[in-house]
Amino acid sequence: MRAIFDWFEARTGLIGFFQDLVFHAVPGGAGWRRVWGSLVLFALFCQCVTGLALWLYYSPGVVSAWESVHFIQTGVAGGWLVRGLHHYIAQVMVVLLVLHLLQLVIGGVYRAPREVLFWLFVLMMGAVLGTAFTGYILPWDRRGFMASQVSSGLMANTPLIGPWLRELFLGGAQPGQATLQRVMVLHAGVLPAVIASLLLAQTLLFRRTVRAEREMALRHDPASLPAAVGDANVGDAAAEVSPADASAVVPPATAWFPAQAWRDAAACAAFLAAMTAITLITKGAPLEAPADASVADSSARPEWYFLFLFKLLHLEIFGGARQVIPAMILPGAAFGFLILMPFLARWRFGHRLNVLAVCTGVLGYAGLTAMTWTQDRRDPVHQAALAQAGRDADRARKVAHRANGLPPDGILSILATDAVTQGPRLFAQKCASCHAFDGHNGLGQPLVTPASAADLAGFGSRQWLREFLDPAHLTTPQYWGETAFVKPAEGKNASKMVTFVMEDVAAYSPTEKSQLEKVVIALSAEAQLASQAGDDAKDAAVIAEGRALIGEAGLACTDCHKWREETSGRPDLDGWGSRQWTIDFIQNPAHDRFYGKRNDRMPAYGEKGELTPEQIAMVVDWLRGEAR
Amino acid sequence: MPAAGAFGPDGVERLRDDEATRREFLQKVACLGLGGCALLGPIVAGAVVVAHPLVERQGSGLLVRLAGLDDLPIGGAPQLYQVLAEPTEAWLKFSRRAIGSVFLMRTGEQDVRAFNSACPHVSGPVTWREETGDFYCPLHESRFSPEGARLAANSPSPRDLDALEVELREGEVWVRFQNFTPNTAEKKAV
Repeated sequence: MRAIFDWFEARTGLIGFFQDLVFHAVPGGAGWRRVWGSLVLFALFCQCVTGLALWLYYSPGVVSAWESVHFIQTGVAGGWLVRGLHHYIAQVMVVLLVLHLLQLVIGGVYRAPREVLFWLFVLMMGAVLGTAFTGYILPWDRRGFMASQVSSGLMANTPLIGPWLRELFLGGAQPGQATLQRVMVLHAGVLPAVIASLLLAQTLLFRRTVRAEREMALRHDPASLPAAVGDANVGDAAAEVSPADASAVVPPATAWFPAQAWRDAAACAAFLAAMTAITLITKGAPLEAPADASVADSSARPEWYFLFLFKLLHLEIFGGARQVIPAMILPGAAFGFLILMPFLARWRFGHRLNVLAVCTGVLGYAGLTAMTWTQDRRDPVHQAALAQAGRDADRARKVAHRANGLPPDGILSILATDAVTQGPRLFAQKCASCHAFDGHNGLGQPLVTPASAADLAGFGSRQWLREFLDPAHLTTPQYWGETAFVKPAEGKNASKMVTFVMEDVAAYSPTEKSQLEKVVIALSAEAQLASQAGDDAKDAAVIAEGRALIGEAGLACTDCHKWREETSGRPDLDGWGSRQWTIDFIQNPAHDRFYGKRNDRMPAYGEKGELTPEQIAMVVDWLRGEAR
Repeated sequence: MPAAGAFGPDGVERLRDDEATRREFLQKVACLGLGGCALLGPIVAGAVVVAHPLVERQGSGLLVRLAGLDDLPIGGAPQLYQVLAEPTEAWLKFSRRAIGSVFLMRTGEQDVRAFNSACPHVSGPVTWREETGDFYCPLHESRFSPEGARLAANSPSPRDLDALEVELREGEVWVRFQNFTPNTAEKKAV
């Protein structure tokens, strides 16, 4: 066996090389505080392995990125676990890098002769941040899309080369197919190659540095070195003992293996256990709603480690052309300072200044991040937008899951015909200029202009109709309070319906009131709301009575309204509030069947072509709570 | 050299050496054990994901109507029919398209034979040769009888043409279309 080792060592020198690394002296002795470097390395290893596995199934494309990630989450054995690990390790990696930086700086290990090693680490931090940034874009959900849009927008502000830099990054004028493809190349090709090269450079340099340190110690302070016997650090020991015979080489008390190595291994194992636990508890990484340029989503935020930048860009002092300060100059200055640190350390107080600066920087970074996060938590508009984004995400995943395969045009093509998704959006766009839905615009946000028409939540239900026909409610803003029916224009009278409710109904006797209640139940049954089907079936007798009461024999609604045998009058109460009635109504509220000439300001959405029949149907299904 | 510390009688020194050795041994065990687990974790998880195609359930085949019974003359030559379906690949569901083709031949009043037209060797395009009365694959020149049996003693194909289940429903010919693993002696559905 030894003969094989000798042969191999003589030709490659690899055995000696690895021995140098494995048994190098850890300055200051082994300790738990030194595990961060190995943890960073291990995290990178995990990302490579999980990343490769994910790469087998991920497809960079505007119609395949989100879809393939959803497939990984739900259709690939163990996919959600591997993606979850990949996602959470990426987050923690940023923290690990900062911790390792702190360890290097506070421990003074960035100084001579380890300057170049330190710079290589700083470069690696940048490269790893780059992989985190590009990885965030790849699922092409709303956050990824916004990240590409906002970051490319910031790039455009770079002096001289801004717009070109932006188009190079985007692969065109807007984020899209080309963007995903080149971001993938960066994320899985270029940046990992850069990181691997930096690691290789660090490894080669490290071995050399250890020797240089030994020489410096021999010159200045030989007593600080571990005992020479059994010191496997340097190649000259190999002259005495065969390098392949590890048992003859006794590591010094502070050799990396096994004293520090076992701590590093324990930390890595604990790290993996923690990441796995987080993945299991959260059931994997999140997947937001798919990227959709047509949706105005204000909830998007950069990944948490860029929140500090987000905050800085929001400050007024950095407004306008001064954006370039937090976007480019400050990070550049921080980077420059890190590079200069080993030289600053040569002054008497240089090292302490460096430690102070780095600690202040880290604290400031943490502070800004915490500030932004807290501010968002306290902002009701942002929270409402987040809630809506969450609903959109849940719906998209549900639709994708039950579709049993997505068309080549992607998830968006299915969502375009999904009433649960499009209903509230169309409502917010087309209806919420006048109507509220349960007090909001359908998407959880307040109305832009005050409501000037009825609140449509529960339209067609007994409660809605009951309150409509109630003098205490009809003239409130929740019903007709802001319409021309209650507040007529100059020279016009209030509508006859309003007069009927405010005067006649207000003066109803108890008998008439109970008759009105039966009419309400009967009319509401016309709407055929699925949510009311049980009650309508149960109250069939009451409904029959109510129907009889609508005519002349009862409360005489047919004096004005069309109903069954009564063939004139408006609005038509046959099928009032039903799906088709409501669709026809939105199509043209000024139709003779509905308000006719008394129509207030509601546009004829169908007639004018503002909404297609499919869109009207989606809004109506959603309004009725029957969108599935 | 033993670690710095109290030098008592010989026994103490030897004990310290043993202690140090045992501690080192435990450290090595911990290092390799924990380190091994840590390194294996992502590899195992990744391997499961990589092996996903092996875990996927086998399809039971797609029952499709290919022709009317009257379209096939009794004793007539095999006809090639395209199988149309909406296939799913990974997350994709495609619109109606050809997913394969089937030879149909009517051997009797109520007897129809169906073969998957993919050569069982390496899925070459099998054709029916009227002149020689056999099935022929141009890739490696495998030949099959009208019953689907291999004609050459050392046929490149390791098994006969893959027969498919036929169902006759009210004068319609339905076939359970399925693909099989190429180049194996045993016919295994894929």
